[in-house]
Amino acid sequence: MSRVPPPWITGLGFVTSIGNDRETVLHSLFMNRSGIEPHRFLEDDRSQVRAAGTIKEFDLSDPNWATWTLPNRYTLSRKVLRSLPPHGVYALCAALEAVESAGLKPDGLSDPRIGLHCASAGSTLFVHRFLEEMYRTRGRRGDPLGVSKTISGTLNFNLGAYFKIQGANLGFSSACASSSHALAYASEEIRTGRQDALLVVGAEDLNAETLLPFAALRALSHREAPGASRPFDLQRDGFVGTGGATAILLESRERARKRGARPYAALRGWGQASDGSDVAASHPEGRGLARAIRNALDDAALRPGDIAYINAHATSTQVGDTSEARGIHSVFEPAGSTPPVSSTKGITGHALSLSGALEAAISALCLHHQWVPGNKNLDEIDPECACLNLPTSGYRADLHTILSNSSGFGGSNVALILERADP
Amino acid sequence: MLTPDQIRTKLKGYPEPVVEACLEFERTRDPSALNDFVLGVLDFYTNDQSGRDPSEPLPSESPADNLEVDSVTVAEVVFLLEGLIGIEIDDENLRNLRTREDLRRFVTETARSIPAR
Repeated sequence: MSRVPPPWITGLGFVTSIGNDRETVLHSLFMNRSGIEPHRFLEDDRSQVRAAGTIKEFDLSDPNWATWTLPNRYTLSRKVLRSLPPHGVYALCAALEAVESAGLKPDGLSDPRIGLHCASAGSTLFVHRFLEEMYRTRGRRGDPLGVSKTISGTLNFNLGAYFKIQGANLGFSSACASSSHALAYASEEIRTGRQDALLVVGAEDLNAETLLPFAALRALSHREAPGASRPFDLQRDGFVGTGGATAILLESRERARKRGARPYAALRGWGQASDGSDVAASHPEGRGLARAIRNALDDAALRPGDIAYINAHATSTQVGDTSEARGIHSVFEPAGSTPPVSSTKGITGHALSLSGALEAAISALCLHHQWVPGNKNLDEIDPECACLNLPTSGYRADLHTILSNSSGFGGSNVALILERADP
Repeated sequence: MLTPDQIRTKLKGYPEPVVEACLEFERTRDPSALNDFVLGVLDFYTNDQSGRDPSEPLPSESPADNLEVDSVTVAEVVFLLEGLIGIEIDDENLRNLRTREDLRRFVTETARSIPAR
């Protein structure tokens, strides 16, 4: 099958801790403004977790959808809301923004040549509620929409039906690399000519059921907001959880040009590799990530010196950030290249399976507006990470190419390379 | 049957006439009180023009009783009702319910089996 040029990102949509639209997210990046706030996940919460990347304007905290409130600019019918988990609401709102920003109408995705790739962990809150009822009634009763709004395919079911998707419709599950895989394989679908465009959506609930289990793993920060998330800092003590959604419309250049669409960036290439080491912790030397980066550079036909900025996965955990620093260093140091590296999780928090799409979309905005984000809360660089060029403030730069890393449990690593796109 | 406070909690966000109809049934055990409950919930679930998918046909402003109701919506209304008034309805009894009127009549007839106060 012949391969077509790298596809364009023509639509972006956000529901995130740092903003619920492109302009607000961009402004937060310019100001290095944190979306992390004091937060307790449970009533009478006895955990030591005190912060989260909260989602403003939405209140989806009650499991009863009839109580939910959304910003007025979104008008989702009750028919639609009834089968959605909280992150499905975020996902649909982000998707509607992405579609609108691409200059399309919602019914413009209903085409056999347009697909949908999604990533989420499902809704553990709704799984819990659903199973609680099942056990209590010994299987006698259950929410008729309990399956479609709980399991990990929920975004594909709901968004596929809403947008009447006729092309590919599938989900990706590689923990915190999931939505990077979803975007990477969307580019494969386009480059191999199987599809002309795909909507790529990552989303996560923001609640105790999704995030507090990571406290049991001792992976969450115990620090106070807004300084709790501090990638590469010596005093970092874990990640700060967040949720929300990001949607990206990826489109072949031919199709985008034909309809006069404006690109935010191109997805020039990508690579993946696994650590082959541990269930949860990344390889101490970042070997899998380093191979993923090399594979991405090969795919993009670029050298390390061509990368102008690296958006790191760094979540603010001791092991993870050091591993990533070593992995990046092992690729770029031999080439004599020291591109600036920052982790925007310092202001967003860590969005789990959504983080890859979120950071790819942030990278696309940075390319479009020629901006290198800074590392928030990086007061004292961890000597183990000092091998990297780590700016503490953002700045304007002549950016042509960005590398965006993602790593997930099981040592799954994805490296995406985005480049500036001129219509 | 739930207490009035429990009913209000369970129906939080639902239209007040739906809540009142359920409370009326709780007070009187008069099955006719469930007419407004069933039709009100159906309206709330399905007759919503905000955010309507533009490719869908416009819903009727005052739905006719013979308007068809999809099987998932029937199941949702019954699931809600079971949790509120303590009746159990077998799946077999739901299969022939096609319209708003079918569901309304079925629910009120089933509620007659609940002893009056």
